[in-house]
Amino acid sequence: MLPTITIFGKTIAMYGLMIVLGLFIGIGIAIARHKSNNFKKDDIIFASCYAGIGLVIGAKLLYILTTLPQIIKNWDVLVSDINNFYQLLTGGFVFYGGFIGAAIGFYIYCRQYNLNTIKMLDFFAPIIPIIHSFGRIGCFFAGCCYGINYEGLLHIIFEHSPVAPNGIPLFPIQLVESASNLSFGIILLFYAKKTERKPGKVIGLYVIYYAIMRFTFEFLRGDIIRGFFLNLSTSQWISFLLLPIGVWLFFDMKIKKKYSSI
Amino acid sequence: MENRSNGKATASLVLGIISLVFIFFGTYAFLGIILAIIGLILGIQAKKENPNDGKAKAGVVLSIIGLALCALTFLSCIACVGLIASLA
Repeated sequence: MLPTITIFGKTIAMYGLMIVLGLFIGIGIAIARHKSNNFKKDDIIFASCYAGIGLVIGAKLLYILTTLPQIIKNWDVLVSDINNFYQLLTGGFVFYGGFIGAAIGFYIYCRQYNLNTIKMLDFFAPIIPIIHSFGRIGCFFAGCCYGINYEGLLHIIFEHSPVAPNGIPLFPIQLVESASNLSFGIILLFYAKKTERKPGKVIGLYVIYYAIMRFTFEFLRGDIIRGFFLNLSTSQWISFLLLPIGVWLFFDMKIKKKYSSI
Repeated sequence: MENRSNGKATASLVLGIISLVFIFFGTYAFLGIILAIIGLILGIQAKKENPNDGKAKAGVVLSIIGLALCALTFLSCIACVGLIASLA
């Protein structure tokens, strides 16, 4: 659709722009609602920075893991030209890797400064799908993470995409996932408003939602370079593993007992 | 303790400024990202140790701006997928 734009003579990838825009809007929402919890504004900003760093590192690492066979196969070509290697570094990110990396970032920050990680994750849970919805719009602009062949209502046809098959009607999975994430993020914002929720409820609900949503939506994805094992994609396997963690966070009494006094 | 914190704040400020310079270096923007991350962590530590340290605050702000602007030129979802696809 629109992989890049030019601002002041500099070409910028729309994907990167949407991610950065989403991060700033997400952190802005977090700062605006910091009084609803007992976190200081500085802690919100600093924890976001740690999570942002974890997000990029995690998303990149999981991408490298999922494409490892192709990377090994084409290693000679990759190292023969610095530009190829640079492209490997700059392009390709997997959301689940970013989510896990961000959670680790929050954990490190909270541990370093004696804050409650579960409460911090609860606080940021509604922000995650909102940021993600911007990322998916970035995918749509770039043409990556595209859908299966589909000629029904609201299909999309890419004409100048460097990745998606051009001239073929596709299911607009990026936009559907973006709308789904944004709606659920808003629902979670209202859900999290109730102050007496037990720790783990909001993040648990988000993990349950995303695991189910992602597992289902993966069947509507048309891009195949994402790593598959036993007919399920890497993200479906991770969804499969994350769902019980979400249920455990949402229902488990141990967390409630341990943190309810803090 | 204060000197160490001050050292971290100065380092954060310097790294934040250098990371901003890397915005203009095209493909080497990833070096700016690495410097901005280090500057950010040092700035956060300095600000935590001394909340009124203006130098630490400036270091954090410049590192965040450097990180965001370098990331803009650095992140793209498609490049690598396209590359791997074309190689495979």
